[in-house]
Amino acid sequence: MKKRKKDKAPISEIVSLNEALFSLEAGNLQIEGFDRRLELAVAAAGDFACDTFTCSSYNGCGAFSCGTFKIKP
Amino acid sequence: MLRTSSYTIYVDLPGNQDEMLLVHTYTGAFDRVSRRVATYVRSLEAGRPPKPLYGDWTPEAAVDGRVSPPTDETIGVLSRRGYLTSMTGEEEEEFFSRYVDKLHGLYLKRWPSYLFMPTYDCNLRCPYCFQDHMRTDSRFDHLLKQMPLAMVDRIFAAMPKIEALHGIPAEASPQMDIGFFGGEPLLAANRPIVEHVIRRGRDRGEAKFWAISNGTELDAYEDLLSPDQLGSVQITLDGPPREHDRRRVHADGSGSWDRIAANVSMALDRGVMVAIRTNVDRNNVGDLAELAEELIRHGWVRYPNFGSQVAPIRASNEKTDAGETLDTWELDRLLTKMRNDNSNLEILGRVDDSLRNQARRIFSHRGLPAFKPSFCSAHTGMYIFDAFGDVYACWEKTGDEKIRIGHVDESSEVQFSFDLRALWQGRTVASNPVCLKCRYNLFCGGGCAVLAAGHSGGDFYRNYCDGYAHRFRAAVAEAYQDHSSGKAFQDKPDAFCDL
Repeated sequence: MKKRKKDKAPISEIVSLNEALFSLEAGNLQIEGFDRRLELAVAAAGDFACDTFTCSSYNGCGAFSCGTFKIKP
Repeated sequence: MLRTSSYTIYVDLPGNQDEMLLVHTYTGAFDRVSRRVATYVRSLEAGRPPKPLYGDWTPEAAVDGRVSPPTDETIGVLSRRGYLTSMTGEEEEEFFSRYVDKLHGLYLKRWPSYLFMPTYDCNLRCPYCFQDHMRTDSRFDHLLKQMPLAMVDRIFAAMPKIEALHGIPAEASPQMDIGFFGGEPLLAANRPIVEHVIRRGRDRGEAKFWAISNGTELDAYEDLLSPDQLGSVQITLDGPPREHDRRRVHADGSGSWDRIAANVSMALDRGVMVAIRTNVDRNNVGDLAELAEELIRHGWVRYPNFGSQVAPIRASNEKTDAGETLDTWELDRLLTKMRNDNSNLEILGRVDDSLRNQARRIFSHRGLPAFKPSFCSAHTGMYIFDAFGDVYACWEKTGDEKIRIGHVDESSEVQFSFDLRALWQGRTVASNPVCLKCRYNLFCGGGCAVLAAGHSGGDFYRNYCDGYAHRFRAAVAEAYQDHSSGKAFQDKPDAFCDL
Protein backbone atom coordinates (compact mmCIF):
# COMPACT_ATOMS: atom_id res chain seq x y z
CA MET A 1 0.00 0.00 0.00
CA LYS A 2 1.43 3.32 -0.97
CA LYS A 3 1.94 5.78 1.79
CA ARG A 4 -0.09 8.86 1.23
CA LYS A 5 1.89 12.01 1.21
CA LYS A 6 0.83 14.10 4.13
CA ASP A 7 -1.23 16.98 2.79
CA LYS A 8 0.36 20.33 3.39
CA ALA A 9 -1.81 22.77 5.29
CA PRO A 10 -3.15 25.45 2.95
CA ILE A 11 -1.30 28.73 3.14
CA SER A 12 -3.51 31.63 4.17
CA GLU A 13 -3.11 34.76 2.12
CA ILE A 14 -2.94 36.95 5.19
CA VAL A 15 -3.15 36.38 8.94
CA SER A 16 -3.07 39.41 11.19
CA LEU A 17 -0.82 38.89 14.20
CA ASN A 18 -1.90 41.90 16.25
CA GLU A 19 -4.26 44.86 16.46
CA ALA A 20 -2.98 47.88 14.56
CA LEU A 21 -2.99 51.35 16.04
CA PHE A 22 -5.66 52.41 13.65
CA SER A 23 -7.38 51.13 10.60
CA LEU A 24 -7.31 52.83 7.27
CA GLU A 25 -10.47 52.81 5.24
CA ALA A 26 -10.08 52.17 1.54
CA GLY A 27 -6.32 52.66 1.85
CA ASN A 28 -6.74 56.31 2.60
CA LEU A 29 -6.47 58.31 5.69
CA GLN A 30 -10.07 58.52 6.84
CA ILE A 31 -9.38 57.97 10.47
CA GLU A 32 -11.82 58.90 13.08
CA GLY A 33 -10.52 59.69 16.47
CA PHE A 34 -6.92 59.46 15.30
CA ASP A 35 -5.73 61.97 17.84
CA ARG A 36 -7.58 60.23 20.60
CA ARG A 37 -6.16 56.85 19.67
CA LEU A 38 -2.65 58.22 19.70
CA GLU A 39 -3.21 59.74 23.10
CA LEU A 40 -4.55 56.46 24.38
CA ALA A 41 -1.60 54.62 22.93
CA VAL A 42 0.86 56.90 24.68
CA ALA A 43 -1.10 56.86 27.91
CA ALA A 44 -1.46 53.09 27.85
CA ALA A 45 2.29 52.75 28.00
CA GLY A 46 2.28 54.00 31.53
CA ASP A 47 3.25 57.39 32.76
CA PHE A 48 6.87 56.93 33.55
CA ALA A 49 7.73 53.34 34.34
CA CYS A 50 5.87 50.11 34.47
CA ASP A 51 5.92 47.77 37.39
CA THR A 52 7.48 44.91 35.57
CA PHE A 53 10.36 46.62 33.76
CA THR A 54 9.70 44.44 30.78
CA CYS A 55 10.96 47.00 28.34
CA SER A 56 14.50 48.10 27.57
CA SER A 57 14.05 51.24 29.62
CA TYR A 58 15.02 50.68 33.19
CA ASN A 59 15.07 54.41 33.42
CA GLY A 60 11.41 54.83 32.70
CA CYS A 61 9.16 54.37 29.73
CA GLY A 62 10.78 56.40 26.98
CA ALA A 63 8.67 54.54 24.46
CA PHE A 64 5.97 52.03 25.05
CA SER A 65 8.22 49.29 23.96
CA CYS A 66 6.92 46.39 25.97
CA GLY A 67 4.53 45.28 23.25
CA THR A 68 1.97 44.10 25.75
CA PHE A 69 -0.59 46.83 25.72
CA LYS A 70 -3.56 47.30 23.43
CA ILE A 71 -6.07 50.01 22.92
CA LYS A 72 -9.43 48.85 24.08
CA PRO A 73 -12.20 49.39 21.58
CA MET B 1 -5.20 53.60 -7.56
CA LEU B 2 -3.39 51.77 -4.78
CA ARG B 3 0.36 51.74 -4.26
CA THR B 4 2.39 50.11 -1.58
CA SER B 5 3.00 52.30 1.41
CA SER B 6 6.53 53.60 1.65
CA TYR B 7 6.55 52.37 5.24
CA THR B 8 6.06 48.67 4.60
CA ILE B 9 8.68 46.25 5.89
CA TYR B 10 9.23 42.74 4.52
CA VAL B 11 10.59 40.11 6.87
CA ASP B 12 11.76 36.84 5.37
CA LEU B 13 11.30 33.76 7.53
CA PRO B 14 14.41 31.58 7.11
CA GLY B 15 13.49 28.07 6.07
CA ASN B 16 9.97 29.08 5.06
CA GLN B 17 9.58 29.44 1.33
CA ASP B 18 5.82 29.91 1.48
CA GLU B 19 5.31 32.76 3.90
CA MET B 20 6.85 35.91 5.26
CA LEU B 21 5.88 38.75 7.54
CA LEU B 22 4.73 42.21 6.64
CA VAL B 23 5.12 45.00 9.15
CA HIS B 24 3.75 48.50 8.84
CA THR B 25 5.64 51.24 10.58
CA TYR B 26 2.98 53.76 11.48
CA THR B 27 -0.09 51.54 11.91
CA GLY B 28 1.96 49.06 13.93
CA ALA B 29 0.49 46.13 12.01
CA PHE B 30 2.24 42.77 11.94
CA ASP B 31 0.88 40.21 9.47
CA ARG B 32 1.90 36.84 8.13
CA VAL B 33 1.31 36.61 4.40
CA SER B 34 1.85 34.13 1.67
CA ARG B 35 4.85 34.79 -0.50
CA ARG B 36 2.47 35.39 -3.36
CA VAL B 37 0.81 38.23 -1.44
CA ALA B 38 4.18 39.66 -0.45
CA THR B 39 5.31 39.59 -4.06
CA TYR B 40 2.12 41.37 -5.07
CA VAL B 41 2.68 44.05 -2.41
CA ARG B 42 6.30 44.50 -3.47
CA SER B 43 5.21 44.87 -7.08
CA LEU B 44 3.15 47.92 -6.16
CA GLU B 45 6.07 49.83 -4.71
CA ALA B 46 6.32 53.07 -6.63
CA GLY B 47 10.03 52.72 -7.06
CA ARG B 48 13.17 52.35 -5.08
CA PRO B 49 13.64 55.06 -2.49
CA PRO B 50 16.06 57.76 -3.67
CA LYS B 51 19.61 57.14 -2.66
CA PRO B 52 20.26 59.23 0.39
CA LEU B 53 22.87 61.92 0.39
CA TYR B 54 24.37 60.24 3.39
CA GLY B 55 23.62 57.27 5.58
CA ASP B 56 23.75 53.60 4.89
CA TRP B 57 20.39 52.17 3.99
CA THR B 58 20.06 48.51 3.41
CA PRO B 59 18.64 47.91 -0.05
CA GLU B 60 15.39 45.96 -0.10
CA ALA B 61 15.14 42.75 -2.08
CA ALA B 62 13.75 42.87 -5.60
CA VAL B 63 10.41 41.42 -6.56
CA ASP B 64 10.80 37.67 -6.65
CA GLY B 65 8.30 35.47 -8.40
CA ARG B 66 5.25 35.83 -10.54
CA VAL B 67 2.92 38.61 -9.52
CA SER B 68 -0.73 37.70 -9.20
CA PRO B 69 -3.27 39.69 -7.21
CA PRO B 70 -4.74 38.17 -4.07
CA THR B 71 -8.47 38.12 -3.31
CA ASP B 72 -10.41 41.35 -2.91
CA GLU B 73 -10.83 40.48 0.73
CA THR B 74 -7.06 40.27 1.20
CA ILE B 75 -6.56 43.53 -0.66
CA GLY B 76 -9.08 45.09 1.71
CA VAL B 77 -7.13 43.84 4.72
CA LEU B 78 -3.84 45.07 3.24
CA SER B 79 -5.41 48.49 2.74
CA ARG B 80 -6.93 48.73 6.19
CA ARG B 81 -3.66 47.64 7.82
CA GLY B 82 -1.71 50.33 5.95
CA TYR B 83 0.31 48.32 3.46
CA LEU B 84 -1.60 49.60 0.45
CA THR B 85 -2.59 53.22 0.16
CA SER B 86 -4.07 55.60 -2.35
CA MET B 87 -1.81 58.39 -1.07
CA THR B 88 1.01 59.41 -3.33
CA GLY B 89 4.51 59.14 -1.98
CA GLU B 90 4.60 62.85 -1.27
CA GLU B 91 1.17 62.83 0.39
CA GLU B 92 2.17 59.92 2.57
CA GLU B 93 5.39 61.61 3.60
CA GLU B 94 3.50 64.73 4.50
CA PHE B 95 1.00 62.73 6.53
CA PHE B 96 3.83 60.86 8.21
CA SER B 97 5.55 64.13 9.20
CA ARG B 98 2.35 65.33 10.84
CA TYR B 99 1.92 61.96 12.53
CA VAL B 100 5.46 62.12 13.94
CA ASP B 101 4.99 65.69 15.12
CA LYS B 102 1.80 64.71 16.88
CA LEU B 103 3.31 61.59 18.44
CA HIS B 104 6.43 63.42 19.53
CA GLY B 105 4.29 66.20 20.96
CA LEU B 106 2.49 63.66 23.11
CA TYR B 107 5.78 62.27 24.39
CA LEU B 108 6.96 65.77 25.25
CA LYS B 109 3.96 66.11 27.55
CA ARG B 110 5.02 63.19 29.68
CA TRP B 111 6.81 63.42 32.96
CA PRO B 112 10.45 64.26 32.37
CA SER B 113 13.18 62.02 33.70
CA TYR B 114 16.00 63.32 35.85
CA LEU B 115 19.60 62.27 36.28
CA PHE B 116 21.84 63.42 39.07
CA MET B 117 25.59 63.40 38.53
CA PRO B 118 27.01 63.63 42.06
CA THR B 119 30.48 64.04 40.55
CA TYR B 120 32.43 63.64 37.34
CA ASP B 121 35.10 61.86 39.33
CA CYS B 122 35.59 58.12 39.11
CA ASN B 123 37.82 55.61 40.85
CA LEU B 124 38.46 53.61 37.68
CA ARG B 125 40.48 54.42 34.55
CA CYS B 126 38.85 52.33 31.82
CA PRO B 127 40.77 53.01 28.60
CA TYR B 128 37.69 53.38 26.36
CA CYS B 129 35.81 55.77 28.62
CA PHE B 130 34.39 58.80 26.81
CA GLN B 131 35.07 60.83 29.94
CA ASP B 132 38.66 59.64 30.23
CA HIS B 133 40.02 63.16 29.71
CA MET B 134 38.20 64.43 32.79
CA ARG B 135 40.32 62.27 35.06
CA THR B 136 43.59 62.16 33.17
CA ASP B 137 43.96 65.70 31.84
CA SER B 138 44.66 68.21 34.60
CA ARG B 139 42.89 70.94 32.62
CA PHE B 140 39.64 69.28 33.70
CA ASP B 141 40.45 69.01 37.39
CA HIS B 142 37.91 71.71 38.15
CA LEU B 143 35.15 69.29 37.15
CA LEU B 144 35.97 66.69 39.78
CA LYS B 145 33.96 68.27 42.56
CA GLN B 146 31.02 66.83 44.44
CA MET B 147 27.47 68.13 44.23
CA PRO B 148 26.65 70.14 47.37
CA LEU B 149 23.48 69.12 49.18
CA ALA B 150 22.19 72.64 48.69
CA MET B 151 22.41 72.06 44.95
CA VAL B 152 20.22 68.98 45.34
CA ASP B 153 17.64 71.17 47.05
CA ARG B 154 17.83 73.77 44.28
CA ILE B 155 17.27 71.12 41.67
CA PHE B 156 14.23 69.71 43.42
CA ALA B 157 12.81 73.22 43.72
CA ALA B 158 13.34 73.65 39.98
CA MET B 159 11.56 70.46 39.00
CA PRO B 160 8.00 71.85 38.99
CA LYS B 161 9.18 74.61 36.65
CA ILE B 162 10.67 72.07 34.29
CA GLU B 163 7.53 69.98 34.46
CA ALA B 164 5.43 73.04 33.63
CA LEU B 165 7.36 73.34 30.36
CA HIS B 166 6.07 69.87 29.52
CA GLY B 167 2.50 70.90 30.24
CA ILE B 168 2.27 69.05 33.54
CA PRO B 169 -0.07 70.92 35.87
CA ALA B 170 1.31 72.10 39.19
CA GLU B 171 -1.29 70.13 41.12
CA ALA B 172 -0.38 66.79 39.49
CA SER B 173 1.04 64.19 41.87
CA PRO B 174 4.74 63.91 41.08
CA GLN B 175 5.89 60.74 39.38
CA MET B 176 9.61 60.84 39.22
CA ASP B 177 12.13 58.72 37.48
CA ILE B 178 15.51 59.58 38.96
CA GLY B 179 18.79 58.12 37.86
CA PHE B 180 22.36 58.48 39.07
CA PHE B 181 25.18 58.80 36.59
CA GLY B 182 28.73 60.12 36.63
CA GLY B 183 31.73 59.77 36.65
CA GLU B 184 31.00 57.13 39.22
CA PRO B 185 27.87 58.16 41.10
CA LEU B 186 28.06 55.48 43.78
CA LEU B 187 31.47 56.24 45.21
CA ALA B 188 31.33 55.85 48.98
CA ALA B 189 32.12 59.54 49.30
CA ASN B 190 28.95 60.42 47.39
CA ARG B 191 26.64 58.62 49.75
CA PRO B 192 25.32 61.74 51.51
CA ILE B 193 24.36 63.18 48.13
CA VAL B 194 22.63 60.04 46.91
CA GLU B 195 20.85 59.59 50.20
CA HIS B 196 19.65 63.19 50.13
CA VAL B 197 18.34 62.83 46.58
CA ILE B 198 16.41 59.69 47.52
CA ARG B 199 15.00 61.37 50.60
CA ARG B 200 13.94 64.50 48.68
CA GLY B 201 12.49 62.39 45.89
CA ARG B 202 10.38 60.29 48.21
CA ASP B 203 9.24 63.38 50.09
CA ARG B 204 8.08 64.88 46.83
CA GLY B 205 6.01 61.95 45.63
CA GLU B 206 6.15 58.67 43.77
CA ALA B 207 9.74 58.09 42.73
CA LYS B 208 11.88 55.31 41.33
CA PHE B 209 15.65 55.40 41.55
CA TRP B 210 18.24 53.67 39.43
CA ALA B 211 21.96 53.99 38.79
CA ILE B 212 24.66 53.30 36.24
CA SER B 213 27.61 52.24 38.37
CA ASN B 214 30.93 50.45 38.23
CA GLY B 215 29.78 48.62 41.34
CA THR B 216 33.12 48.84 43.14
CA GLU B 217 31.82 50.71 46.20
CA LEU B 218 28.20 49.59 46.12
CA ASP B 219 28.61 48.08 49.58
CA ALA B 220 28.58 51.64 50.94
CA TYR B 221 24.93 51.83 49.87
CA GLU B 222 23.77 48.47 51.15
CA ASP B 223 20.91 49.80 53.28
CA LEU B 224 19.69 52.00 50.42
CA LEU B 225 19.54 49.09 48.01
CA SER B 226 15.97 47.90 47.93
CA PRO B 227 13.05 47.87 45.48
CA ASP B 228 11.55 50.98 47.08
CA GLN B 229 14.78 52.98 47.23
CA LEU B 230 17.71 52.43 44.90
CA GLY B 231 15.91 49.69 43.04
CA SER B 232 17.86 49.14 39.81
CA VAL B 233 21.56 49.21 39.07
CA GLN B 234 23.52 48.60 35.89
CA ILE B 235 27.04 47.35 36.57
CA THR B 236 29.81 46.67 34.08
CA LEU B 237 31.79 43.46 33.86
CA ASP B 238 33.96 43.45 30.76
CA GLY B 239 34.73 39.77 30.63
CA PRO B 240 35.87 36.98 32.93
CA PRO B 241 38.03 38.10 35.87
CA ARG B 242 41.41 38.17 34.12
CA GLU B 243 40.10 40.19 31.14
CA HIS B 244 37.89 42.44 33.21
CA ASP B 245 40.83 43.24 35.49
CA ARG B 246 42.85 44.38 32.48
CA ARG B 247 40.18 46.87 31.43
CA ARG B 248 38.25 48.01 34.47
CA VAL B 249 41.21 49.16 36.51
CA HIS B 250 41.75 51.52 39.35
CA ALA B 251 44.10 54.46 38.94
CA ASP B 252 46.90 52.31 40.37
CA GLY B 253 46.24 49.64 37.74
CA SER B 254 44.66 47.14 40.11
CA GLY B 255 41.61 45.19 39.01
CA SER B 256 38.07 45.40 40.31
CA TRP B 257 36.36 42.05 39.61
CA ASP B 258 36.33 40.53 43.07
CA ARG B 259 34.88 43.54 44.80
CA ILE B 260 32.25 44.06 42.11
CA ALA B 261 31.22 40.40 42.18
CA ALA B 262 30.65 40.54 45.92
CA ASN B 263 28.54 43.66 45.50
CA VAL B 264 26.48 42.13 42.71
CA SER B 265 25.61 39.20 44.96
CA MET B 266 24.71 41.54 47.77
CA ALA B 267 22.47 43.67 45.57
CA LEU B 268 20.67 40.68 44.11
CA ASP B 269 20.04 39.30 47.58
CA ARG B 270 18.46 42.62 48.51
CA GLY B 271 15.96 42.36 45.65
CA VAL B 272 17.51 45.03 43.47
CA MET B 273 17.31 44.70 39.69
CA VAL B 274 20.90 44.17 38.58
CA ALA B 275 21.79 44.40 34.90
CA ILE B 276 25.32 43.44 33.97
CA ARG B 277 26.65 45.28 30.95
CA THR B 278 29.66 43.95 29.05
CA ASN B 279 31.46 46.29 26.68
CA VAL B 280 32.79 44.24 23.81
CA ASP B 281 35.37 44.70 21.10
CA ARG B 282 37.31 42.29 18.89
CA ASN B 283 39.77 41.61 21.68
CA ASN B 284 37.38 40.34 24.32
CA VAL B 285 34.52 38.89 22.28
CA GLY B 286 36.25 35.54 22.47
CA ASP B 287 36.07 35.65 26.27
CA LEU B 288 32.30 35.84 26.44
CA ALA B 289 31.87 32.10 26.94
CA GLU B 290 34.12 32.23 29.97
CA LEU B 291 32.21 35.24 31.27
CA ALA B 292 28.94 33.34 30.93
CA GLU B 293 30.42 30.51 32.95
CA GLU B 294 31.40 32.95 35.68
CA LEU B 295 27.90 34.42 35.85
CA ILE B 296 26.49 30.90 36.13
CA ARG B 297 29.08 29.87 38.70
CA HIS B 298 28.14 32.81 40.90
CA GLY B 299 24.51 31.73 40.78
CA TRP B 300 23.31 35.09 39.54
CA VAL B 301 21.30 33.74 36.64
CA ARG B 302 18.93 32.06 39.06
CA TYR B 303 17.70 35.43 40.31
CA PRO B 304 14.58 36.78 38.54
CA ASN B 305 15.98 40.29 39.11
CA PHE B 306 19.18 39.61 37.15
CA GLY B 307 19.84 40.50 33.54
CA SER B 308 22.85 40.85 31.30
CA GLN B 309 23.59 42.51 28.01
CA VAL B 310 26.59 43.00 25.77
CA ALA B 311 27.18 46.26 23.96
CA PRO B 312 29.75 47.25 21.35
CA ILE B 313 32.50 49.59 22.45
CA ARG B 314 32.40 52.81 20.45
CA ALA B 315 35.59 54.57 19.53
CA SER B 316 34.82 57.66 21.59
CA ASN B 317 38.30 58.66 22.66
CA GLU B 318 41.75 58.71 21.13
CA LYS B 319 42.87 55.66 23.08
CA THR B 320 40.32 53.43 21.37
CA ASP B 321 41.27 51.97 18.02
CA ALA B 322 38.17 51.99 15.81
CA GLY B 323 39.60 49.01 13.95
CA GLU B 324 39.23 46.94 17.10
CA THR B 325 35.56 47.77 17.57
CA LEU B 326 32.52 45.94 16.30
CA ASP B 327 29.31 47.49 15.13
CA THR B 328 25.99 46.39 16.55
CA TRP B 329 25.12 44.05 13.68
CA GLU B 330 28.53 42.37 13.71
CA LEU B 331 28.32 41.81 17.45
CA ASP B 332 24.79 40.46 17.16
CA ARG B 333 25.77 37.95 14.48
CA LEU B 334 28.90 36.87 16.33
CA LEU B 335 27.08 36.32 19.58
CA THR B 336 24.20 34.52 17.87
CA LYS B 337 26.64 32.12 16.23
CA MET B 338 28.48 31.61 19.50
CA ARG B 339 25.19 30.82 21.22
CA ASN B 340 24.51 28.11 18.67
CA ASP B 341 27.77 26.48 19.67
CA ASN B 342 27.46 27.06 23.41
CA SER B 343 24.07 27.42 25.05
CA ASN B 344 25.59 29.04 28.16
CA LEU B 345 25.91 32.19 26.10
CA GLU B 346 22.15 32.55 26.03
CA ILE B 347 22.40 34.28 29.38
CA LEU B 348 24.26 37.17 27.74
CA GLY B 349 21.67 39.42 26.20
CA ARG B 350 22.25 40.73 22.71
CA VAL B 351 21.70 44.41 22.00
CA ASP B 352 18.61 43.64 19.95
CA ASP B 353 17.08 41.26 22.45
CA SER B 354 14.83 44.11 23.50
CA LEU B 355 13.54 44.20 19.92
CA ARG B 356 13.18 40.42 19.84
CA ASN B 357 11.40 40.43 23.19
CA GLN B 358 9.10 43.18 22.09
CA ALA B 359 8.19 41.16 18.99
CA ARG B 360 7.59 38.05 21.11
CA ARG B 361 5.22 40.01 23.30
CA ILE B 362 3.43 41.40 20.25
CA PHE B 363 2.92 37.87 18.97
CA SER B 364 1.87 36.52 22.36
CA HIS B 365 -0.42 39.34 23.38
CA ARG B 366 -1.36 40.76 19.95
CA GLY B 367 -0.14 44.08 21.29
CA LEU B 368 1.34 47.13 19.64
CA PRO B 369 5.00 47.80 18.98
CA ALA B 370 6.94 50.78 20.18
CA PHE B 371 6.45 53.89 18.13
CA LYS B 372 9.69 55.77 18.44
CA PRO B 373 9.42 59.20 16.88
CA SER B 374 12.82 59.88 18.42
CA PHE B 375 15.70 57.73 19.54
CA CYS B 376 15.79 58.24 23.28
CA SER B 377 14.66 60.39 26.15
CA ALA B 378 17.32 63.00 25.35
CA HIS B 379 14.78 64.14 22.78
CA THR B 380 11.65 63.96 24.90
CA GLY B 381 12.62 65.33 28.25
CA MET B 382 15.65 64.04 30.10
CA TYR B 383 17.37 66.53 32.36
CA ILE B 384 20.83 65.74 33.64
CA PHE B 385 22.13 67.85 36.51
CA ASP B 386 25.79 68.06 37.37
CA ALA B 387 27.46 69.29 40.52
CA PHE B 388 27.50 72.86 39.24
CA GLY B 389 23.80 73.06 38.48
CA ASP B 390 24.40 72.81 34.76
CA VAL B 391 21.69 70.95 32.88
CA TYR B 392 22.32 68.66 29.94
CA ALA B 393 20.07 66.68 27.61
CA CYS B 394 22.31 63.69 26.99
CA TRP B 395 24.61 61.85 29.35
CA GLU B 396 27.18 61.44 26.57
CA LYS B 397 27.45 65.22 26.29
CA THR B 398 28.13 66.75 29.67
CA GLY B 399 30.85 68.66 31.44
CA ASP B 400 31.00 71.62 29.10
CA GLU B 401 28.92 74.70 29.83
CA LYS B 402 29.03 75.65 26.16
CA ILE B 403 26.72 72.74 25.34
CA ARG B 404 24.52 72.77 28.41
CA ILE B 405 20.83 73.30 27.79
CA GLY B 406 20.36 75.17 31.03
CA HIS B 407 21.58 76.08 34.47
CA VAL B 408 19.82 76.00 37.84
CA ASP B 409 20.57 79.29 39.51
CA GLU B 410 20.60 80.17 43.18
CA SER B 411 16.90 80.96 43.20
CA SER B 412 16.13 77.56 41.64
CA GLU B 413 15.16 79.09 38.35
CA VAL B 414 16.35 77.17 35.34
CA GLN B 415 18.06 79.53 32.93
CA PHE B 416 17.48 77.58 29.74
CA SER B 417 19.40 77.94 26.56
CA PHE B 418 16.18 77.46 24.71
CA ASP B 419 17.83 77.09 21.34
CA LEU B 420 19.92 74.17 22.52
CA ARG B 421 17.03 72.65 24.41
CA ALA B 422 14.85 72.93 21.31
CA LEU B 423 17.64 71.42 19.23
CA TRP B 424 17.75 68.29 21.37
CA GLN B 425 14.00 68.01 21.82
CA GLY B 426 13.28 68.68 18.17
CA ARG B 427 15.25 65.77 16.75
CA THR B 428 12.78 63.24 15.40
CA VAL B 429 12.63 60.83 12.50
CA ALA B 430 10.85 63.58 10.56
CA SER B 431 13.54 66.16 11.21
CA ASN B 432 15.99 64.83 8.65
CA PRO B 433 15.19 63.79 5.07
CA VAL B 434 16.85 60.38 5.29
CA CYS B 435 14.96 59.11 8.33
CA LEU B 436 11.74 60.60 6.99
CA LYS B 437 11.85 58.24 4.02
CA CYS B 438 13.01 55.15 5.91
CA ARG B 439 10.52 52.34 6.46
CA TYR B 440 12.16 51.36 9.75
CA ASN B 441 12.08 54.82 11.26
CA LEU B 442 9.49 54.40 14.00
CA PHE B 443 11.23 51.26 15.23
CA CYS B 444 14.70 52.76 15.07
CA GLY B 445 13.99 56.30 16.19
CA GLY B 446 16.72 57.76 14.00
CA GLY B 447 19.70 56.36 15.85
CA CYS B 448 21.86 57.97 18.46
CA ALA B 449 22.31 61.71 18.00
CA VAL B 450 25.82 61.67 19.44
CA LEU B 451 26.97 58.89 17.14
CA ALA B 452 25.28 60.62 14.20
CA ALA B 453 27.16 63.81 15.01
CA GLY B 454 30.40 61.88 15.32
CA HIS B 455 29.95 60.50 11.83
CA SER B 456 28.91 63.73 10.23
CA GLY B 457 31.36 66.19 11.67
CA GLY B 458 29.03 67.58 14.29
CA ASP B 459 25.54 67.64 12.79
CA PHE B 460 23.26 65.43 14.84
CA TYR B 461 20.20 66.05 12.69
CA ARG B 462 21.38 63.10 10.68
CA ASN B 463 20.56 59.43 10.67
CA TYR B 464 22.68 56.88 12.46
CA CYS B 465 21.57 53.56 11.04
CA ASP B 466 24.04 51.09 12.57
CA GLY B 467 22.75 48.32 10.31
CA TYR B 468 19.24 48.65 11.67
CA ALA B 469 17.41 47.22 8.67
CA HIS B 470 19.36 43.96 8.90
CA ARG B 471 18.93 43.89 12.66
CA PHE B 472 15.19 44.49 12.57
CA ARG B 473 14.47 41.80 10.01
CA ALA B 474 16.70 39.28 11.75
CA ALA B 475 15.27 40.00 15.20
CA VAL B 476 11.62 39.87 14.16
CA ALA B 477 12.14 36.71 12.10
CA GLU B 478 13.85 35.00 15.01
CA ALA B 479 11.13 36.11 17.41
CA TYR B 480 8.40 34.85 15.12
CA GLN B 481 10.05 31.51 14.60
CA ASP B 482 10.56 31.09 18.34
CA HIS B 483 6.92 32.01 18.92
CA SER B 484 5.67 29.62 16.26
CA SER B 485 7.74 26.76 17.55
CA GLY B 486 6.50 27.32 21.09
CA LYS B 487 9.95 28.12 22.42
CA ALA B 488 9.69 29.23 26.02
CA PHE B 489 9.86 32.97 26.46
CA GLN B 490 11.46 34.18 29.63
CA ASP B 491 9.82 37.54 30.07
CA LYS B 492 12.59 39.03 32.16
CA PRO B 493 13.60 42.66 32.33
CA ASP B 494 15.63 43.82 29.41
CA ALA B 495 18.82 45.67 30.13
CA PHE B 496 19.42 49.38 30.23
CA CYS B 497 20.04 52.13 27.88
CA ASP B 498 20.49 52.15 24.15
CA LEU B 499 24.16 53.08 24.08
